[in-house]
Amino acid sequence: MEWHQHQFFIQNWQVAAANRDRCIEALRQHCENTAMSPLDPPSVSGWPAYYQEPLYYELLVNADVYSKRMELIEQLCQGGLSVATPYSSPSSHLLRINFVDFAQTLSNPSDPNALVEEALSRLYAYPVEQPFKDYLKTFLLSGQTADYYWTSAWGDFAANPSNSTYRAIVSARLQGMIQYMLSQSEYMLM
Amino acid sequence: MKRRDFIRSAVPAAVVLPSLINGLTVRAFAHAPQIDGLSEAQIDTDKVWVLIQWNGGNDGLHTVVPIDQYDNLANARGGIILSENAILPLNGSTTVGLHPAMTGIQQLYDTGKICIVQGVSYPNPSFSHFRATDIVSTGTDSNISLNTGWVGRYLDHEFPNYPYGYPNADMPDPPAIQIGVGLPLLFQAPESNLAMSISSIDLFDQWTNGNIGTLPETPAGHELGYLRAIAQQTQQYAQRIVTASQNVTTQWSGYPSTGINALADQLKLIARLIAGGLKTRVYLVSIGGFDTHANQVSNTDPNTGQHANLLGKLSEAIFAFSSDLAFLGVGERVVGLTFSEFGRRIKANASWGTDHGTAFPMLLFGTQVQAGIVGNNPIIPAAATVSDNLAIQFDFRAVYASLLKDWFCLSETAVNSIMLNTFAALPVVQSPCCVPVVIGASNSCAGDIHTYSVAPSAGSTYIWTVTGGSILSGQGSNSITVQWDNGSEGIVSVTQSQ
Repeated sequence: MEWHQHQFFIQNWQVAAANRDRCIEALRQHCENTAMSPLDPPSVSGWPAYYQEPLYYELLVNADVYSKRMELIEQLCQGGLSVATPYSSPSSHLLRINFVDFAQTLSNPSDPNALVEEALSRLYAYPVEQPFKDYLKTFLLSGQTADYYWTSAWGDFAANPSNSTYRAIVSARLQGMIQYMLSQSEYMLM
Repeated sequence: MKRRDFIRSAVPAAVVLPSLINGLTVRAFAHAPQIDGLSEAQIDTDKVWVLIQWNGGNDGLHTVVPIDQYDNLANARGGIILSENAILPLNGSTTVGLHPAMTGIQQLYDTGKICIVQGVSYPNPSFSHFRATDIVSTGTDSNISLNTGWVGRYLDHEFPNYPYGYPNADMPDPPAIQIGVGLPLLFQAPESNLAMSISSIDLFDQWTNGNIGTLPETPAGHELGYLRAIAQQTQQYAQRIVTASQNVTTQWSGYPSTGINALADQLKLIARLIAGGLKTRVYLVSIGGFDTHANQVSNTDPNTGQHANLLGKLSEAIFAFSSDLAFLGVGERVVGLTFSEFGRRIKANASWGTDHGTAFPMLLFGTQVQAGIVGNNPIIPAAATVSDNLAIQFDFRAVYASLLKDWFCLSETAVNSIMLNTFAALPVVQSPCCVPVVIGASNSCAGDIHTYSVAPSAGSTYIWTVTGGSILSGQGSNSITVQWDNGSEGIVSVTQSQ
């Protein structure tokens, strides 16, 4: 991983500049724990090649790595990944995904079908089938049966972005959907 | 930029880096240590809660019908009113009846397995589905937003620090399981979500059969199969769940055929998991479609139609589930609770339906519920207008709090901290549910020393009385040692107080 790529993400964090390095380092450590240490391939010849017997490129994922990735996803989506930042106050940060920010970068977040499609194209490398998309949409509709329930909830938030209740309503539903997406095997395919 | 484009431009080391997600911004917050949970010991229990959520806002007046006010209701409901002679009577009540489709619930009621709580709502109710769903899930006041659910807080209290250190010997299974529609907020605790989600019964079948599902016809189909196999290995609970389900080979024969009634299919699986020995405390299933603004009833027969179909499925599923629990010998361990986000208006609208309202009846089921009706019939005005709503009789949180206290036997302090306030308990569960059971040897020789104990409950003191022997140690605690005399009979009894 190139460091400037890290910078791309860090820019969106509301982290004091003095603490950014610590946050980057915390993520780098997680990469290392999941066998993807940035700039540090496992051997001088690089990563195991796709023709290397007997498992070929499947060597890159095993049960240990997989469960650690799931743990990281859980932390980033839920309570947050705690990063100690001793150089300035406060003494630690919790890194969490901001689900509403993510939805706002999509072209039409008020349409749950478009939202699901676009989130899939951003986060998944390969297309998925309709029942999978339908299930993702149940998170947004939270058990209701028609698309306008989400559209109206998003509309309330978009018209009143500083209203914490409206934000919480859309955020909880996006969190459910995105954590589910990140926890599926499909997400690990590149 | 699409994620794969981003990856293409990066070095191979980035290829499967889950933490770097294009467009998923990660925001850092100053870390505030979570308020530490109460340090109460986990209560060892085999009791189970099954929650059934009716999504959309159920029409309570056409579910639990105030037959003593039929004329006023008919006046308000016009063409959609149920036929008076079709309403199902309830044993011992001349004023309350059930929707004609709920024959299964009627049968359960008449045999003492249903508790109806009338007029459940909360102050300043919301008429928005999402907001109201969040309120009943979080258990908060209607003017406060909260990001934890009341079941999540309960489970967090019982299983602190989850998922770290779990599964373990005391809790080898997921604390909660939800089947079907993803509704995460209910099980959300400050640090994690305590429910395992089974998206569909198909997924469960995949675990059981060890297959990896249908793989899509994409260039990565083979790789996806490999990843799913790895995921199954790491899904620590999957094997427990499969084993529990396989412990049960025969179930009650009266379930509807698979695929006809989704709720019944899901409850059938839950019955198997409970009887198969899973220690999971809470299960959630849901049924949608109760938002009956239009065509709530058929325009040829008001006793049939959309709402009747839903109530019929619900009633059939709960009846089959209850019968199965009895068949499997685990009925005493299970209490069911059904809830909706709100009720509907008294007056019907012009589209053969009803609009969002406030209070609704809550149904609890199981052999351990306090059978009968809590509260009174709602008052129906002689000439109801579109803005008339039903008065609140009980706060929904009072029902939850009563279950936590009288079913899961939590201390009042713990209940108040979970429910974020104090709510007067309602008589919804039979009172002996929390009486301690003494465990110890029932046969002894003269002079032998034995230990007798009850499950610990924090903050409790225990006064033991022994006849025919003497207490050597432990008076006041939950466990004593007794040396028996030379008599033919001895008695150990204990009074637990808080």
